[in-house]
Amino acid sequence: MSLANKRVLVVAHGHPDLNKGGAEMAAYNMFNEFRRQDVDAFFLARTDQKPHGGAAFSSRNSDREILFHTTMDDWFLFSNIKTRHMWQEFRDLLMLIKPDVVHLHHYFLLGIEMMQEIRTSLPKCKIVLTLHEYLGICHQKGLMVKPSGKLCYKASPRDCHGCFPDKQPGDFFLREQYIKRIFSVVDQFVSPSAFLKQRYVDWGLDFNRIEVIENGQLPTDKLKRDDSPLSKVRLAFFGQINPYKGIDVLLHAVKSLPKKVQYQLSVEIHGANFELQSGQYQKSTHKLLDQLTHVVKMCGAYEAREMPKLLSRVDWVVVPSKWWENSPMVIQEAFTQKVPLIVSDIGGMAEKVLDGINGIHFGAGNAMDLARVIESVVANRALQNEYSANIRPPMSIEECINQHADLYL
Amino acid sequence: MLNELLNNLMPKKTLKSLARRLLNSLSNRYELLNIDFRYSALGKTVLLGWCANLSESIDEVTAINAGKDLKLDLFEFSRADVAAKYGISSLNQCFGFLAVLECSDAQLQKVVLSHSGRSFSLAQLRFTRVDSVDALIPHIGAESGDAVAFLKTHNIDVSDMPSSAAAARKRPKDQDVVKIQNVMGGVNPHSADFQSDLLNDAMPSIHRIWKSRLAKGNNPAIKQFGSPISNPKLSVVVPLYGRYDFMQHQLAQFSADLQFADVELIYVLDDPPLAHEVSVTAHGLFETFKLPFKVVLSERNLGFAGANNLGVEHANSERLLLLNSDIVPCRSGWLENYLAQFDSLDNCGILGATLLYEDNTVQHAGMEFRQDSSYPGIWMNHHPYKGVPLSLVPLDDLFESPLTTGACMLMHTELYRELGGFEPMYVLGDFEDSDLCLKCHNKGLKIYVSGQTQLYHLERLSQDLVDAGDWKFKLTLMNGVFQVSRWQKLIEEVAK
Repeated sequence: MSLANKRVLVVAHGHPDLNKGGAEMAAYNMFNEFRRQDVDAFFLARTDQKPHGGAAFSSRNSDREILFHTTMDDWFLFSNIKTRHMWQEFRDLLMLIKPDVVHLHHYFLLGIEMMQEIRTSLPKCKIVLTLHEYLGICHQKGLMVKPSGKLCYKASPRDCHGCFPDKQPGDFFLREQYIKRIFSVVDQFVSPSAFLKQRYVDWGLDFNRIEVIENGQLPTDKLKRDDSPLSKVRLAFFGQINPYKGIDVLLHAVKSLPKKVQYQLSVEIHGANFELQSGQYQKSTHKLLDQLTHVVKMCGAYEAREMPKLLSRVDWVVVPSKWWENSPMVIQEAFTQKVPLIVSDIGGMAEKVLDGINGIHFGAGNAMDLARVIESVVANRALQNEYSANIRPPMSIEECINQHADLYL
Repeated sequence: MLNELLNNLMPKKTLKSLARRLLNSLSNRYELLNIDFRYSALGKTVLLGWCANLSESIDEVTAINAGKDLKLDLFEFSRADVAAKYGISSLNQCFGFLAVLECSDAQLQKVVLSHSGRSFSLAQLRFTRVDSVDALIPHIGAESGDAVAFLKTHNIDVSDMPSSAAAARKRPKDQDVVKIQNVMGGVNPHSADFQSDLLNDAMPSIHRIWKSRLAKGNNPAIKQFGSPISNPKLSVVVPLYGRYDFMQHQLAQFSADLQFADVELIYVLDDPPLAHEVSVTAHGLFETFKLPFKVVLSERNLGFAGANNLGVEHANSERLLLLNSDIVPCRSGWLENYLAQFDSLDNCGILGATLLYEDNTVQHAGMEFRQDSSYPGIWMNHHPYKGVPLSLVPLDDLFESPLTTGACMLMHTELYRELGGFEPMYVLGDFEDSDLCLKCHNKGLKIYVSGQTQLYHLERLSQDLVDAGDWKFKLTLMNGVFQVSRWQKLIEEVAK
């Protein structure tokens, strides 16, 4: 494969300088790797920053990184048609860049009609869309979790109306038809997990149109494990803090452990945006934290470049999410540093971490089951080394790009 | 001495409250007010509740705070459950409300609400506090989109942002509709003379209101998006009211169907306050999907019949498809076959289609007259097989039916004009479609339905408002009486 003489436009719904979500990072890493390989690539990221008077675009870092100052006018359909952003400003930009390939890592916040616009303006352009969550299927933030917290296995207009009574079953049907209509202009879908691919196949996308490619990892130094000075078993959580990430499951599990076990344990919580959560969630989390000050430490936000160092001081990474996940970034990062994981036994987590090989599964949302697993890794310290040795290095960004390049041609 | 003793035994406060409770139970209380939920933030409080007046119309709901007038803005919505509980029918006597008060959480104890001359101190009402305004919205039901828009005018944002169409603004009350409600308020559906009361009393006064409304001039604006189609093979007329996002769904689907290439698509906006929004959206939709269409912006709200009639005035093809806005095709490439079936029929007045709900059950596969079981003599439009899975229903590719729904009617434009289109005197819409079918029968033409042409018709779920006291239900019966007065003999023939 060769991307010589091909121009690639990578699109994301945020710039990692400003929003550090997994999808934004994945898109930006790809763009940077393209540039490293001298591919003629551009990066377009949506922003909510204020533009220069009336401008739709601005640049960041270089002329190849463009911010798109726009937003959706319909959050139910991800629609952006009322302003001229898509069918005038973006069209003009497209005609200036004239990419051979547009690889979108999202349509959320940008406007789903972006794909139709690319198809209309550049009929021969290859359109690739990476699906990072279940947004097309589920109006509940793309989580496929019901308002009660129960996991959802399949969307249907009647059941979705049950979750959102102010929307009619017919509205959900139309939403699905509309998204599928726009998806019909996409040449190739990419999913970072087989699980997410299957959800979209069940929903109606053609199996053969979705390629599973894991997010590539940037090369990092493999740091030597830093042994615990107090010979404690060290667990850590990394990621956004919100009710779906299951911090409460972890805290309840720790709380239920016998004191003797608690004192052999240290738990670090590294995560951002706790302060943005609802007051009630913050209150109940703080209440638990206050009872566990001898075990659990809140460490706040972290930067991606700090990960190797943070992970070198951790024995197990815990991913206790209460939603399906797709391919959580932290799993691949932990694999890079050979740290085994304890994860919920559902969705992308169960797929990426192999139970009894390079990690351990526990019943999603089940604090008692997680407590059982924690107790077992405290009792059997040798498991850490054994599982760590079984970890295979995750896919590099270079390999990731190579696999994508095949799709672009 | 005795006094002192009594005071010790029973503090004055308790005595007073006892006396008040006694008084309350003695007097007949017709005025009711209940608060279910409260949400406070940034110096504003939102209350969700309902009020009722069992004896007469509710007069204005007001608020005072520690003796001073307090600014209160009210969003009203229907509470059929409360109305049913107290056996009142008029919207004017019972409604749910969202009230925005310019007062903080702390001041709330001193706030007193009043309506119809009775006061209700918030300190004495029990209600649940919610942490998020989002929690209030599901309680509003069908009108929640409007409620969200109402809250937005007070800078209170509901985080689950609704679709643009649901965010319709607070609709001012239509004065003609208020008059009609008042006329209907006086009609008792349980009286033995109900039908003759409708025919002789209610109908003449309601028709007077409606005639003077229809007599007002209309100077619609026409907006063409893209190039007009020369020699269209079909004109499609779609009326829009409220939910103009349906236009987006239809255009997205039609634009992906090559058979729509030489079709003249005409949207009629029968909702003047939305004219600007719809024009902006239409422009964006054309730029996105590139399918030409025109929008006729009516200057006034004409109702289903009037909107269709207005749209047909702008139709240039010999063939005409009247389509509801909440219809989308099951698949591309259906139109040619539908037209071919139509062309193959002699003596056909209207060709309907098979319409499905989103769960692939039948919404419409032909329509017939059935006498209303509670009101014999009034003929209702019955949809056989409604709600039955389509795969169970033996449908011919093309079949004759006594009637077909107005949601999808294919006919000759000239015939539609010759018949005078839909009859506009079915007030607020019922029976226009069966009436048009009767006009065809009257000319000796037949009604057919295509079993091969299957489209989704995404009607909303029923709203449990169909009790006999409801003015809208009485109006439907009045329209039924009107239809019988026009066509009794023919109806009985067709119904055979």
